[in-house]
Amino acid sequence: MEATVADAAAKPQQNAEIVIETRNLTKDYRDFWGRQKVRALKALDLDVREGEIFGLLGPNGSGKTTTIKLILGLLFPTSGEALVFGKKASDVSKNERIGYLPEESYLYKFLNAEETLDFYGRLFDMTPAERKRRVEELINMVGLDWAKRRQLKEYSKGMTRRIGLAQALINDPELIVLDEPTTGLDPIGTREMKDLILKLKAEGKTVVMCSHLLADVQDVCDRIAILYQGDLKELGRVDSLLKVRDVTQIRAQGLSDAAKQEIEEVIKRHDAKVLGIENPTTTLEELFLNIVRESEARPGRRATESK
Amino acid sequence: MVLEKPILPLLEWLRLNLPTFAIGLIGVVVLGLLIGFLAGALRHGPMGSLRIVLQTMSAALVDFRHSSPRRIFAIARLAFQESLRRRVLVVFGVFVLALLFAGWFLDPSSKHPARLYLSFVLTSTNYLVLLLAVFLSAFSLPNDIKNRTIYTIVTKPVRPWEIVVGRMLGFSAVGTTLLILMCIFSYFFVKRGLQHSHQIAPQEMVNQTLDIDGDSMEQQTGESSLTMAHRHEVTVGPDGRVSVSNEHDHTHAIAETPESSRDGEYLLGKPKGFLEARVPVRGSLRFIDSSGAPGSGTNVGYENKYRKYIEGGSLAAAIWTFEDVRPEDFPEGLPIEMTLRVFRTFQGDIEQGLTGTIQLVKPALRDENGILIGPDTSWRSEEISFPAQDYTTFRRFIPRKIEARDPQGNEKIVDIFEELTDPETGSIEIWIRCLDSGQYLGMAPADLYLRASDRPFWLNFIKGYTSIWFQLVVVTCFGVMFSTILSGPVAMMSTLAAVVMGFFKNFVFDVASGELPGGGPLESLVRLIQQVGQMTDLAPGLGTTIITRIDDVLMLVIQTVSYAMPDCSIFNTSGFVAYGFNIPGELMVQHFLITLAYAIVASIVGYFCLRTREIAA
Ligand SMILES: Nc1ncnc2c1ncn2[C@@H]1O[C@H](COP(=O)(O)OP(=O)(O)OP(=O)(O)O)[C@@H](O)[C@H]1O
Ligand SMILES: [Mg+2]
Repeated sequence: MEATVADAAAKPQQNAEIVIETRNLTKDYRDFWGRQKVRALKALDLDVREGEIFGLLGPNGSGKTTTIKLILGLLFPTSGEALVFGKKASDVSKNERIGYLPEESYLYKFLNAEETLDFYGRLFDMTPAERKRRVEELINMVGLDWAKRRQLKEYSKGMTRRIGLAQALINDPELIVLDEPTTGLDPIGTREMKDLILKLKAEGKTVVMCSHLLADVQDVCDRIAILYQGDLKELGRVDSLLKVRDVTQIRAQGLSDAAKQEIEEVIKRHDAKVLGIENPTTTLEELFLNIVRESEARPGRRATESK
Repeated sequence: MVLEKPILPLLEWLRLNLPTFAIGLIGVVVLGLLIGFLAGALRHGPMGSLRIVLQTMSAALVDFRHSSPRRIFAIARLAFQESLRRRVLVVFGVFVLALLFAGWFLDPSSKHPARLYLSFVLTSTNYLVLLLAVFLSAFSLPNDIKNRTIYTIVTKPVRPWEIVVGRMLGFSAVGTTLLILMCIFSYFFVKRGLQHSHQIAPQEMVNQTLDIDGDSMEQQTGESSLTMAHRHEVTVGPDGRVSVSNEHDHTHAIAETPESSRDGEYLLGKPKGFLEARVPVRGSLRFIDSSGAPGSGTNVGYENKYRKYIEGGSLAAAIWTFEDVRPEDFPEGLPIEMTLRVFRTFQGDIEQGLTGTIQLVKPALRDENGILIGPDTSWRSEEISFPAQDYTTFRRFIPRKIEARDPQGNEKIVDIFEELTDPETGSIEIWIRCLDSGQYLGMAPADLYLRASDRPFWLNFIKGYTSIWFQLVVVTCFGVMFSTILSGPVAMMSTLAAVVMGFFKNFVFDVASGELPGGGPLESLVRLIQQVGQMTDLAPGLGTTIITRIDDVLMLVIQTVSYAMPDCSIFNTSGFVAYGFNIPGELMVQHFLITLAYAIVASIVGYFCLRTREIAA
């Protein structure tokens, strides 16, 4: 399959403001003595524009979390730079406008839900009344009203995840960075999370998320980047990336074996190759697996966004 | 109580110490910059490194400007909550139990029970609180980094200052809470532990005939009942007034007389004099030799340089000069208190004690060596004898009207403030001599003083706890500082090491300056292995030279490090409280300033460590 590099439609809205910009962003993890252990990210160039939902995809260990940490200033780049709202990632003042949900919810286990949100609220410039209102609103939004007086150490994984999300939204941020937002959530929670992300977009917020759950990404993301071992492999609008023009997929119901045989023969007669007649898979999954397979076969090829 | 150094007035102290502090601060900053630069140079080359260092410095200023009390408070509050939820208050329970158990072991028959009780509660509180401070402060930040909760903090608009200072404040607040609880509890523990009473029945008293100015008078006297291993002598004077003798640092008021009490006995009420906060007026001390010439006192060998001795039955005298003694401060006369040492060259009558004399002298004009300029024109009071017993405080009130001799030897009753003090400077001399020839009396500048007034004891007790509080804050700040770069256990060990090094600071300095025999660490090791005593020199040769050279370098490093370490022992005021002296306000202010200085340095270092640290690495 020939990878379809983004066409004209993939161009982001040129007039929208750039929220995140990475230039040649590279990260080597080093050990105590400064010797290089892993090159987790290689010369990443990305633009994320205002109002879009941007997805980072990639297999485990491909550098998604590393990218996010670099953008937030939790890691210092080995070379290159990341700019958020035009400010350096190490600039603390950018955090006023950012909400971040880490990979796992790293929260203070000895606080209860209300105290947690109250604490994070105090780190922002809000009046006590405003903070109180916001805390209540968010607890209701993530559906934890029934457990808000319990300490977080008693929470289940999904409940912790929900309070983690509430924490990320405490300051009504313009940019929300979500590292695998749906892990640990039940199907209803997953649905709610996706609805929430779309709602945030409708409010004009920018969302950057990374996930393994391709269906989720496909449902909500406007643009995606696919990373593989620190290399950017694919970048573009989801709809255009998924349009595979030279492959026809036949979906039918109630075909007999004889009928399938017949169809196969018809295809052969037209000099085409049968790729397989099977239950359809998610198309993004197909793309994803292809990239991974191809990268393993031919390492080094990289994608760039055509503008 | 040993007071090695006189307490300087605040301005004088600042003049002496501010330059040291400034040098120390500059040293830390330069060292920090150098380390930062070298670390950067390894990765980015010298120019890149220089740029990074400059950027970091300017960023630090920006961070400082944007620090908000609100966020510092939020983080301090979190630290406080964290400690409470981790059940830190259990420490108070441990403390209460420890005191209750110790109540059994504190020997009530001690000659100085108040000293015993007070030093016990102060010392145990001190150690417990410092230990707590180390544990609290060293683990919090490393835990946050390990659990990655710090990710959700540093991605909020929180400056590294706020994380460091907030924690310092929060944990200090936890320690303060505990300290207040301990302070209140120990106060009542001491009060209760010292509480006791005696009785004496009038029929147990014996009659005595007194001869006062030729009139013979009757008085009754007797020994009270035995409590806490002592009895008081109770005397009913001719005028019917009851007096109780001073025993084991205290006396009692009469609570009930035979007429009012049920069993017809005298009941001695609450102990008085155990818990005091005396305000001493101190003077300067010089000596006269047995020949009568100015000298420096005799060293009897087993004492440190601090205390010197005068020979009995000779011209030798110890002379305290007090400045600015005014009738406004001592309207009735001079209350003299002294605690002298006794050194016997032969045993004599141990029970009796030696006899010393006190004489008030109007200072004559002297040069800086104490040699008279011109004729001795001074008035001298009569010599008042007193019993000198080792370690025992002797009090004598000298009334304003006293018999004195003018230089020609004419005796006359005079007013202390008219004939015996210098009218301009208000200075007066107190001469102490020993009458028993062959015996010695030992004294140091702080051993004799005028007891100007007393402050409330509870206030002094609180001041003593405030000194512990200073240590708590310093240790907390250092714990937090270390925890910004080190893992929890390592940070804890480092803080402990810092505190211990602080305690041995003077020792380290003495070793380094060669004042102590035995040499540095390597030389000491060699001595240990070869079993060579500290006083013998090692055999000269190449080996010894190398060893001493390496030691010099090692000692320099240790000295530099220990210089920066907080010396908690300087905050130790438990001696004041235990020995019943008011802790001077000036000392408290000095300690406060030292605490502040350490806190500032620790937060600056902590800030840079946290700031340059890659949180998620
Ligand atoms: N602290 C670290 N020290 C050393 N190597 C690290 C560190 N964190 C991540 N890595 C390495 O960097 C690479 C990228 O890791 P990263 O966490 O960014 O992957 P990811 O895409 O988020 O994976 P996942 O989907 O599993 O979350 C991996 O090879 C990982 O081993
Ligand atoms: Mg990840």
